[in-house]
Amino acid sequence: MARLIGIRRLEQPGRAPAQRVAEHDVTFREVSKVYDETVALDRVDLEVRRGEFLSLLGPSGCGKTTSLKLVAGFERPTSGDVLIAGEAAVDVPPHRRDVNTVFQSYALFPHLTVVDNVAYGLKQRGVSRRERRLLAQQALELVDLRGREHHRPAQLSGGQQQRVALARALVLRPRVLLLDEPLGALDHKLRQAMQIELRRIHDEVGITFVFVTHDQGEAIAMSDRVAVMNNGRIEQLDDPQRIYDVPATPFVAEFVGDMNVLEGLRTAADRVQLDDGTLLHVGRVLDEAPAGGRVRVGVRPEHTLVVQDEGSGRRGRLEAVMVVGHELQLVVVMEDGTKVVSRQSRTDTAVGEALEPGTRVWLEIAPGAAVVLGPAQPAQADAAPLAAAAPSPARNPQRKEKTA
Amino acid sequence: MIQRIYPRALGGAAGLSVLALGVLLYVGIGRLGLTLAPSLLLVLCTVPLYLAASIAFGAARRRGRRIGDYPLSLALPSATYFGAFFVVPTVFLAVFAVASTTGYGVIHYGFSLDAFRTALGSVYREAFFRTLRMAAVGTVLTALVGYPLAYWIARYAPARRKGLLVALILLPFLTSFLARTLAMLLILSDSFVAWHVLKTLHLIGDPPHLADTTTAVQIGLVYNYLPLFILPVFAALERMDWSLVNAAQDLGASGFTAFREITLRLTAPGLLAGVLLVFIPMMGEYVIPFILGGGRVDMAGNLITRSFLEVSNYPVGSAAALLMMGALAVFLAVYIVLSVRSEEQYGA
Repeated sequence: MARLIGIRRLEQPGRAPAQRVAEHDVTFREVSKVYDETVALDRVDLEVRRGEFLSLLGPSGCGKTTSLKLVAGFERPTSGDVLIAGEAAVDVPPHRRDVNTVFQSYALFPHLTVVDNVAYGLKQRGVSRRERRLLAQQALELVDLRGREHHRPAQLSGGQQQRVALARALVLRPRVLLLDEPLGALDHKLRQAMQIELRRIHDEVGITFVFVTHDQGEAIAMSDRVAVMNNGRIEQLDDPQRIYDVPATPFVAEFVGDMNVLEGLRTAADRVQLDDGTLLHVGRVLDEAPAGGRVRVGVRPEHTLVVQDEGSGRRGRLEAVMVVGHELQLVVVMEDGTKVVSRQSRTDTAVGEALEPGTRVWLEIAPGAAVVLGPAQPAQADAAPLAAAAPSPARNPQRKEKTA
Repeated sequence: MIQRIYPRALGGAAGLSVLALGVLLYVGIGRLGLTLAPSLLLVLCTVPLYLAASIAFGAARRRGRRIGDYPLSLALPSATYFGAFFVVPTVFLAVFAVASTTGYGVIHYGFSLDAFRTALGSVYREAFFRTLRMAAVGTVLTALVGYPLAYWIARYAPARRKGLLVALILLPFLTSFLARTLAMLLILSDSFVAWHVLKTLHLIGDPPHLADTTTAVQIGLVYNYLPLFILPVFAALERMDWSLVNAAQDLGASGFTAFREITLRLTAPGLLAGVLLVFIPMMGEYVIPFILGGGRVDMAGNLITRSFLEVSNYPVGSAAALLMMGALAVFLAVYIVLSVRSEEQYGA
């Protein structure tokens, strides 16, 4: 930590130092971005707190990379305002923004050595050659890459290139560091190591990180806060624990973490009766569905328990048993044919690991753990106006039976 | 040993005999006065050359011989071709250059440096430097006109239009070179219809008197060699990773700095190839100055042509041609050194 204190904040010509201390490093106000016909961002409001590690999480095409480009300055919003450190940034060109990016493909300059790549930004700011070398060296040490200074990017492994890209952006001490799926090209093990590294570097330099990813595990593991995006909107912005435990929308519930989706009849505000008669105690309702209607119910695998002796649970047949590290993953086929994935720790499992597939088992669901995701059929009220204009064919979107 | 040489010898022999046949036919048809057919036939002659090479390959394979890591036989067709049409004439040139001449085109073979002395004299020297200047200016103009177009096609043109745009650039090549140049003469001459229209509209006074001037030759050079420059530059820009430009800007480089330090730097090999592809033929050009310069603008090529075709002074023409080749070889050497160096830089 001490080795970084030596790096002073560099004065930048043409970049007015922010006098007032803004609480938010990046602010989106009703930002929309429309490409031709497609809406990439739809009136998004976002505030990135000073010094936090914020992840933009979502499937491809959800608008997360567009958001990043708007902050970096490579795109202009169709409408709305983008503020960096409390100041309007829409008309500021990329090279005058106090923001640096770690690109998805790293975008290292192939004709420059590692140290020259890292020093590139410093050179643009007119830092003397000696100081450039020194600062680049320190940045490379920060990302734990030594002895490769005079190699060219093509001579480095993917993980090493990743570190150079990180050092190149960090050496400028930007107000905000943008990371565009930087771990996507790495193999699993390296990826996990880099997650820890990135978090360490973040805590060490105290710069705001905005991290784009489609990997929910990555976002949950690294971030202070996660913004789950879908169809150009932010569905939920919360700390990782709450994103997982208290999803705000059905999309978040299904996208983050694993979720068994069951169907049943909503008999009361907090009661859903599954087709085999099991009564579920529902903890939360994410999308209001009328009592008496059929609803979709989500249950996390770890909130279920597979037992061998008849209890209060549902009857089913064990289809598969998988040992995933310290966990045991069991797939149970219920009598109505739905599959439910159950996960439990191997140390306190109620059933043996040697359980044969095909064995009759009972599945218990923790009371209050289930959440109502919404009506089972698409709401008829939505379809009605369309049906009047044109007789609609049987609209029956495939329900997503998300298992493992 | 014999087995190793056999397929190559077969390929070479087959190539040579097909070539000989082609030349015989060429000469024969030329005598019949079928103007376009001979050149077409000459092109067709290369097809059997490749066939011969593949037959040689097949023969080698049937003998159960492994084709080496360095299949020289692939170069045989072109080697035969270059041998017949480049090396042999160059030898002739060398023989002529050290010969001497008396009277009107009577050649005495021997060893004399008189021809070189004449070829280094003031007339030829002036022509050489004039040619050098015109080719240099022409190359710079070509680059200034061609690079932005290649850049636009590579970076901004819609992907499905790129093929069409490149085809459009090549379109002039579908017309004969001579026809194109004569058409240019028409446009540059004072009787061109547009000048009349402009004059009637009182937008200009007199036509600009472009024909038969150095300017006309310069314009003609740029027009003719533009596609040759655009293609390699476009190929280089097409391989460009544009996220590098974004990265440079992200790190504080202005748009122009990013272009200079990243785009231009990374496409330099293509640019260099384009420059040479244009500069070297421009140095040897004699048809464009002949037609557009109206005999008033002499480039080195015109002097050499004249000494062969008009005054029949083969030794001086040959000496000048050899000196010219030597001068151009220097540029080529520079190119090779530069391109090898850039390859080393990116190499993994």
